[in-house]
Amino acid sequence: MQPAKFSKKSILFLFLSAVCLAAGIYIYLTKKSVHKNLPEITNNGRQEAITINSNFFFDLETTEGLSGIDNIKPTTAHSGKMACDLSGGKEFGVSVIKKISDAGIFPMKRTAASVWVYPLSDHPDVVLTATISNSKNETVFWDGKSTEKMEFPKNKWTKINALYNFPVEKLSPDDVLQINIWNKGKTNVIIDDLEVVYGECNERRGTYSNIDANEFYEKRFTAQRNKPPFPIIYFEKQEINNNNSTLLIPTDSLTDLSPNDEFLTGDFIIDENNIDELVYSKNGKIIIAGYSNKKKGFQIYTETTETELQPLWKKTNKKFAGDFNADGITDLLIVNTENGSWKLFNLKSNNWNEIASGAIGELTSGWMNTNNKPFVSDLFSENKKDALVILDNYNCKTLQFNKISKTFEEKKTSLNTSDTSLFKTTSIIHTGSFTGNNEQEIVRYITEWRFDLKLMQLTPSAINMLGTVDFKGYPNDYNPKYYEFLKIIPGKFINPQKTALLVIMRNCADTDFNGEYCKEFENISYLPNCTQLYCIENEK
Amino acid sequence: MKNSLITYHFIHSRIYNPDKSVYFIAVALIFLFLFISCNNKTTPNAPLDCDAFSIKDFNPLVNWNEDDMGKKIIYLDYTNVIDGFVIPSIRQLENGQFAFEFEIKNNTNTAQNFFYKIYYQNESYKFPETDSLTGKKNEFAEENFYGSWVDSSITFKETELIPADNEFHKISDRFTIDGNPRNEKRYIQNGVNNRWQRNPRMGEYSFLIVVTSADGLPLVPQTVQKINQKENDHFLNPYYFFLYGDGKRLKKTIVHKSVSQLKVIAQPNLGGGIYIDDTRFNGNIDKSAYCATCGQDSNLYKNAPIQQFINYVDASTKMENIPIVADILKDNYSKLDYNWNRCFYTKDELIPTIIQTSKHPCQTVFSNPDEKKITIKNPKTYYGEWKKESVGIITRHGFTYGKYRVKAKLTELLNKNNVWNGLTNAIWLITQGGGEWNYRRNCNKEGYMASYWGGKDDKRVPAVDYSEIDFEILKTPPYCPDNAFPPVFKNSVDDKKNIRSWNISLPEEIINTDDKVTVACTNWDMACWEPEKFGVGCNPVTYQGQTVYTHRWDHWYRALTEKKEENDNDLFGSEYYYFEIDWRPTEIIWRIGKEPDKMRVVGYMNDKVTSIPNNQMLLIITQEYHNTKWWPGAPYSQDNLPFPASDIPGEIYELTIE
Repeated sequence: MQPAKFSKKSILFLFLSAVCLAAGIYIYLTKKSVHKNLPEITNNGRQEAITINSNFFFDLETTEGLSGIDNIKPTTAHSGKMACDLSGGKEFGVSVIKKISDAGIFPMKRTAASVWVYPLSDHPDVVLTATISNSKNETVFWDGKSTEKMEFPKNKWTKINALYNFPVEKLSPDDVLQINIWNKGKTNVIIDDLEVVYGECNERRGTYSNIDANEFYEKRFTAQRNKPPFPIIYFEKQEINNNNSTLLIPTDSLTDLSPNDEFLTGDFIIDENNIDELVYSKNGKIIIAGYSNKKKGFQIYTETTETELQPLWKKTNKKFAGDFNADGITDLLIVNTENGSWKLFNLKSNNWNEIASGAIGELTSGWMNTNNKPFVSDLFSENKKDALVILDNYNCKTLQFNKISKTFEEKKTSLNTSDTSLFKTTSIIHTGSFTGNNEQEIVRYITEWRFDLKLMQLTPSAINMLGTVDFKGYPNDYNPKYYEFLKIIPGKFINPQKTALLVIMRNCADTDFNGEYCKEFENISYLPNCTQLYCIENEK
Repeated sequence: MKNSLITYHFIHSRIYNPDKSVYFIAVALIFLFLFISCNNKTTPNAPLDCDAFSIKDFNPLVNWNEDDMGKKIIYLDYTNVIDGFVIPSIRQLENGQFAFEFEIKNNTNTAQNFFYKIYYQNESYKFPETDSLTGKKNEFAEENFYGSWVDSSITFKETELIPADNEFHKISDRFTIDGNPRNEKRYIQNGVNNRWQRNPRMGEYSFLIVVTSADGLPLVPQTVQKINQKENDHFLNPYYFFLYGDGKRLKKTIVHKSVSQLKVIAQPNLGGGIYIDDTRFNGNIDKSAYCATCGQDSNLYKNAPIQQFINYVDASTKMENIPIVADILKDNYSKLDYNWNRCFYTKDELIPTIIQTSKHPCQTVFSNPDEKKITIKNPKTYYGEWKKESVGIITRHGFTYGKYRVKAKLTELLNKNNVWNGLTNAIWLITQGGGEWNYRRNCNKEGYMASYWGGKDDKRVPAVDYSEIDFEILKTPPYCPDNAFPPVFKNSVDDKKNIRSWNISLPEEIINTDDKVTVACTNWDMACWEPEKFGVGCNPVTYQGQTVYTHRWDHWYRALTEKKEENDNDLFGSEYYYFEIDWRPTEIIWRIGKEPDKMRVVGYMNDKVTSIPNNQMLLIITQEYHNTKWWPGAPYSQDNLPFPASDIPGEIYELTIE
């Protein structure tokens, strides 16, 4: 018998089958039991937010999220008016039923629960139970904490807490966890205010460093460049006499600054103080405000409505302040990111004058897309004039203004391109001389999941992390970093040698607040909205 | 008894003459009183008689005077007592001995020699000589601290020839109270009698004089004449023998327990310096901080009552700490600060840490000879060092039992926002170690867990030397009543856009005691199951009308704890406070208070619920950092609290053991 011969077609089919099979096996073996809400754990540890709510409190005033609600009624209640009355021999109270994957991070190692109990007769035997059933409705876990041998006096509210530790190896994400109130003794009893906390506190993000702790104790620790842990650099609160309110000037609503708005700072007004002014738009006006040493507070210098600048002051346009033409006056550069056109303004006799402009496309070719991180610095240009420095992935280039041609020209920098990885797409970069030693510094502000403000030193060839910024001297707990919506505006507001930070601190009532725009601000009693000024105080 | 019968008949015969009968009744009562008094061995002046002789005026402490309150008190002399205490010392009395005397009258017809022996016993910390239920010898009475002359080969001493002249003749002699008074082999190693291994107990001492005649002496058992001898491997307590046992009925022997007692108190001079023990520091010792009052010179070696204590640090204290250096007590550190720091640092920003102990002796402990106090401090730290360092002192001389009272101002634990600074203030007794010589009484039901650190599967052994009795004061909730334990803490979410997700509130039962710290009173009984009410979970114990709850995690847990919440400001915010561990043979009482006469009970245990240690222990006072995993339910986690930006001092003003 001769060996079968395969046609080309059949070999092709065989090959394709093998490929599909291999792909299927690969997918099967590498499949992670990741719920759509669960974060992916990468080599850098947990990166994304875990937004599953794992804390639940049921005051029984509503029945949302509860099962077994038949006995909830107006009665003696621990809070509100409603409670679950199990008098008259009733055995089962309310339940909370959730699939484990809906309740929290899988694997879920434990759950805590508590409920308040009001016995109407002696020796109540109420059990707070946790049951886990699998998809076949088989019980894979059961535990309960009973009031039986505890002191639960009649006609008094007493709390019972329970902690259930689960056999994680036996559980799967689709198992159902049920928290029950079981009136085992069938005595007359009322229950209220059930609390359930699923799982444990989330792990911190990231992965642990490989620092050897002995380096500290043997006093030989040397920080690695641009790697944590970083020293803390404190900015201290400066008094601006605004009563810690949201107004820069207590009596002027035009100075009710909002973190939704945009601001620029620079020495726009030529005077002997040489300190920066603040420029912003409000109620259709372009306002310039600045600090007055005499008044020990801010004042408005100008507020103009009729200006070519006003219509350009919109979010889609990028705005920069800097002395681009090196004439000693801070200019204002507005760039239309949609069509690439730009206009340069300066302030003369309280009017904004256009001193240069560029046509459509001149600053395109990717310079001004949303992923770029442009900032103004004089470090890389001739004659120390300000230029736009743009970080784009691992590239760093500058756009310098040519006074003669009145155009921006692209120049390369000698910056260490690996340092550009210090900046993410969500980084906000401000330059200044924050320590007051005349060096060019950057504060990098990232607002993704946490307040993250870093102070960096900028040199022609490198960016060096100096430390993590924190604040002190604030009243009560009003640390700017705690606020949900924080706007940071650097400027030499009070000292021409030192850049301070004007911080607009707000909390947001929006349930879908994305961190960038807030529709409705909320004043929280222990963290009231306000505007404050901070700068680094030199060590005395 | 005879006099009582006469009284009865006399009254009866005069029943119809009430006026005279009253007179006779009164006289009868007087006779009755005298009858009782004759047999009361504690009446000093009345002679005690037997056929052969009479004795009177036994004074065990001729050369030691009473104080203003009419008591005889002696304070231990701590000069050069590495080898053990002697009471009195040669600095306290000439020849370093107490003088005792009594008078004897020969009731026979011929001049005779008589024989006498003095015994002493610590009354404050003894087991009763008899069992309260059976009236028989208490099996633990041999554990009592009793003794006689230091040379136990001396049995009874012979008097000079006492003439039969119907006169009392004075007999004088001397004695001391020494460690290892029975010269037990247990405390003799390599031919050296280490009396310090069984130091005299503190408290009240009684004195017993036993006088006998030549033909009465052989009736006294050898184990009573020579107290270092055993019968059937047991000592015979002479107090039991002579006051309750067969010795009570010995003819031609008089036993007299003196009314006069001596109170012994230890009050080490805290300005007397701090000794540094090499063995507690690994490697080369840095002597740069040594000074006249802290170090290793011969004066300190001989005389310093205290040495620097180094906590044992085990691997479980390793943690990843937030990288903040702050002064929690002074810097207005708030719960908001705590919550933010707990949520928003990434793993690589944390500082790998293990609780530290001092590497530089004398740098954090100070003895002040002028103010007679000791200062301890947890040292401040800085970026790049990141240290949480525990600090403490330990006594150098061990005792068994005693009322240990410390007057101290240790660090406050809560700041004005009631945030905890991470420290545990501890005043505790620990075994002096040593192995066999310091073994506790056998645990007869399955034995003790063999080691402190072993888990549930550790073997059980009849005896161990480990013992510990603690005051630990820190921020943690009580375990009992267990309906409210553990507290239900909400989970936080690291989302800056929602402050309520990370700034979570503490449970109500924690907030309700926000300004309180917990005084945890613990006895490490090594899970001996012998006590009749050995229990697990929360169990009540009542003492003087007050109910406290003991807690043990499981049947193999080596410690029993009681917790009481107290105001941090009261204990550590005032000028000083008193903490007292009253360690007795069958119970332990923990007390605290503003003054010694205003103490209140915060903990109580007895031998029904826990095995009370009977070995020798040292006292430690520390301000230490704990891994909060040791204290389930603690609202603040050690790794989420900052490193200390300032030194954290504590001061110890007085230590009294009585």
